[in-house]
Amino acid sequence: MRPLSALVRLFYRSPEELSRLPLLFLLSLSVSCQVPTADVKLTVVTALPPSVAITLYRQISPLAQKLAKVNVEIIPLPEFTLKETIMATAAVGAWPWDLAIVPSSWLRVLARQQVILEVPGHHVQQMEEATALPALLGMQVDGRTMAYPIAADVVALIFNASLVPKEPSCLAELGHLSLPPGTMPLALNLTEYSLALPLLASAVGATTTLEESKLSEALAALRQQLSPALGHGETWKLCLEPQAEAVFAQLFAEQRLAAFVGSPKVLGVLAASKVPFRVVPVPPPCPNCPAPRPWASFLTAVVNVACPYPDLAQRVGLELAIHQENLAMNLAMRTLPVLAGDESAKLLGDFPELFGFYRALAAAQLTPGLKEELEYEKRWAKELGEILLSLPTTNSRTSNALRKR
Amino acid sequence: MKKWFTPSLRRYLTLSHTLTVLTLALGMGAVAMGVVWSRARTLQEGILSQAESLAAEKVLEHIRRLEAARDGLAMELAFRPSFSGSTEDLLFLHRVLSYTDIDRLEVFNSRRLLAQAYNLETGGAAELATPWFPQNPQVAALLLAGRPVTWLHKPQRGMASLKSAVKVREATEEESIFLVATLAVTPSWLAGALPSTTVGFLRVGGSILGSWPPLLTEEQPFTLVKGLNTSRVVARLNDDSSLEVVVASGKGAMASLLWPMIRGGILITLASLVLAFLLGETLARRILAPLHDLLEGTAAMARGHLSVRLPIRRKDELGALAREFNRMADELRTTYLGVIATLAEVVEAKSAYTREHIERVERLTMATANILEKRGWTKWSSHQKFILSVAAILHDVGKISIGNDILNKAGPLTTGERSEILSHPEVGAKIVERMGKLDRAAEIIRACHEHYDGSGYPRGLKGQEIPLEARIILAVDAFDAMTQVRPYSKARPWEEAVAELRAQAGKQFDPVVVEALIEAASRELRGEGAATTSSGFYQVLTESDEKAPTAS
Repeated sequence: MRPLSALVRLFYRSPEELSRLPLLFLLSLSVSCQVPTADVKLTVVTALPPSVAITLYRQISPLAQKLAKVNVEIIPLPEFTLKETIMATAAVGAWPWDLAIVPSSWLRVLARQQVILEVPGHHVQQMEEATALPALLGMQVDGRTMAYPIAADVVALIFNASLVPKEPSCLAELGHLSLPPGTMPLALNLTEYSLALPLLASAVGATTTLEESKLSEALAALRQQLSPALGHGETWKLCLEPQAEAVFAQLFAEQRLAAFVGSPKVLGVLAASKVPFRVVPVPPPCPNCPAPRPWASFLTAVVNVACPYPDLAQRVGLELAIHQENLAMNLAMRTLPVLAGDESAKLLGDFPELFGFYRALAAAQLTPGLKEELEYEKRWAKELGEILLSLPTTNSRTSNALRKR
Repeated sequence: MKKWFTPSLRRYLTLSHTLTVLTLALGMGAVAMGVVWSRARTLQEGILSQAESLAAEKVLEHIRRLEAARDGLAMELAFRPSFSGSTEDLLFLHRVLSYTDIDRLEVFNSRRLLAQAYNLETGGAAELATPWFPQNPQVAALLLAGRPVTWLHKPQRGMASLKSAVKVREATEEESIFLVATLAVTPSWLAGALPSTTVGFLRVGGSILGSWPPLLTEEQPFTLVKGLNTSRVVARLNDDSSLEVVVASGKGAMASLLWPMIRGGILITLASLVLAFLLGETLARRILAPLHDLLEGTAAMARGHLSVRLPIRRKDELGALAREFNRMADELRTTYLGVIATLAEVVEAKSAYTREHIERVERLTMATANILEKRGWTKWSSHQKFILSVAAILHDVGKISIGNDILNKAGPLTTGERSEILSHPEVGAKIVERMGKLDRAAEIIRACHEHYDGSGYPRGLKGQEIPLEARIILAVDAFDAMTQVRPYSKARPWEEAVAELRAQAGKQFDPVVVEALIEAASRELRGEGAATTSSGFYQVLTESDEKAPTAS
């Protein structure tokens, strides 16, 4: 400092004139330090399909530009990679993502590992006013709201309105329909424990969860209750196929299937098929069984605790949950919007078949956490294996249907 | 601040200097920006080239995966003894589809579609369905010849897809089985390969299939990214189409590259401006200092400061001007002092002893003034000293009006004579006033006979009401009168005169002045500072005929 002041004093001896120097330097600095925010970036990781990733970008990018003039980068990852990556965040302590689109079943683990930020109270209040209540409940972990709901996913019974005259009161009832030859009455994916476990519980009279000790008993009861609709062999095999939903949709579109349990994902294929269809909550397997409560899952937006702009990321999450962007996202993903109110009502007017899924959502129960899911998956896979081994090789009625082109 | 905007030569010079530097800085900045722009463009081209390679690799990876899936699925299919399109076949297709990440699988015989399976989320769109047989004859011919083929299917509306087909089995025409694997072409293939400042496009035959990041407007893609772009053919497909990757700089790419340099440039320019301003001010100050001195000197002279001399700072024209000013001031002063000298000589002419008296009074007055200044009682400017000196010389000029008989009378004075004597300060003051610019000297002369306790004449002033210069001259005059022979008294010894001075301190004389005078007189007695205590005016005046003062 001394040489500098000496230099300054060499030129300027009057303190009055010296006082202008800091002013000039401040002016210089203020002009030159107006840094644009172009290098600030909001990174969003997701396992959504590419077409949905594009929609996500189209929704988030203008939002981020509007809110803070920052760029958005979407990184689509395979689901397994996304899961591993986000889980690894806790161990490493940081990961270059700000916002992640993840299933609600991950929330418990993410919250307990302190990977994600809690949603601020005023955002929760806004969501309470603008979103469907079940969606908001699905965001809670130990009483704290940890995510912004984006979409809901739940299964419902979809039936051919020309083949099934009225809403079936139970699944067994579908086995008694008079159907054209080669048309199967019902198909449902029993590998999806989110459907199978509630059905098993219903089969033995339980309303929500099934005690593990009763699993074998419930399985026997369910097989008996569904046998009129599923027969004893080929259809069962179809129902135990992991990738069955797409097959069901194809068979349904070709009128080779009267009813199936499916998610909103099939709506696009069904709408293109011109087959008249209706959507209703999954009925119980037998007339005396209580209504099953399939598991509903949600797609959520979570904010990384290490995000350098948590306010911005949370604001984007909120906008995705409570504004019109939510509808566009769900249309692209073929999932249920969580947005309530006028916009949602308008959507129901345009796509009345969604109403059945909303009914199913209201009757559903929340998907348990990731850990519980994995335990169920393991146990249920074992039971399914046993069913497959026990199935007869032929069945007169369904075999004929399956063999028909 | 207002002062700074007042027009002045220094401001103009500073501004001119600053503007010159600014012009130079802007000129150099423009050249530098040109160079930087060129470098940034090269850098951006490098970035684009790297991004293009990465993007091309990603697209190729998808094509390879499609072809690998096609071959793997064909092998699976080849092991099935027959393929009728039954539900079991459908299940089989879905099962094998789930092993891959392709969107759609279709099995044809030579005439029609036997079965299809598609990913519900990505492969269900009608535009992804394969029209059989491939309309491109080359693709059809290759397929029939048993060669695996890959081509691009671009419907009129909807998304384009890459299709890869292979003949699985050949028996009869009816039994020939073809497998077609479909992968929707999406620009998100480019995700992760492109830096944030670039936009990537997939292009086939000149038409854009999509961009990543997706464009947010309906504008033509390239209108958003004018400027730098680079393209590479990733694959030549069997339908003779080429799949290209185009990577272009986004709108803000160059700006984001250039901004740090622009910011640096602005900082350097501003810093150089500040420096230029400082240097300009300093130079202007130095250049204009003689002019400033001249201005102040002229103003001082106008106020009557005849002893003004300008410092000769330089040897240039302004230095010469200062020298000429000094010479002019000297001439004026000499003329002025000539008048004073004339007056002094008139007084001298009236009595023989008075000349030495005036000389001693002037010398001792200046010595006493210097002692007071040294002791911190007062501070004299050169002009004040000049005035004091003039007053000391002319303090008795009023005696011109007194007749020589009274002035040189050895005996006691009559009342009339005394009255004449008492009026001489006023007369002297009036004479000096008329000389112009010597009002202060006149005021001193008028009070030269006022006593500290108010018993003096002509106005009976006392204490601080009497100008300090007058108090000094009074004490010095009295001391000189006591120590020199006068017509009416003998010279008294030095110690007695000092004692008399001290006795009259606070009465006739200012005590402070008395002590300063005694010190000055003591020094003079000891021969210290005699040469420096006098202003020298009186010697100059009296010797002016022989040696006139010079400007230098």
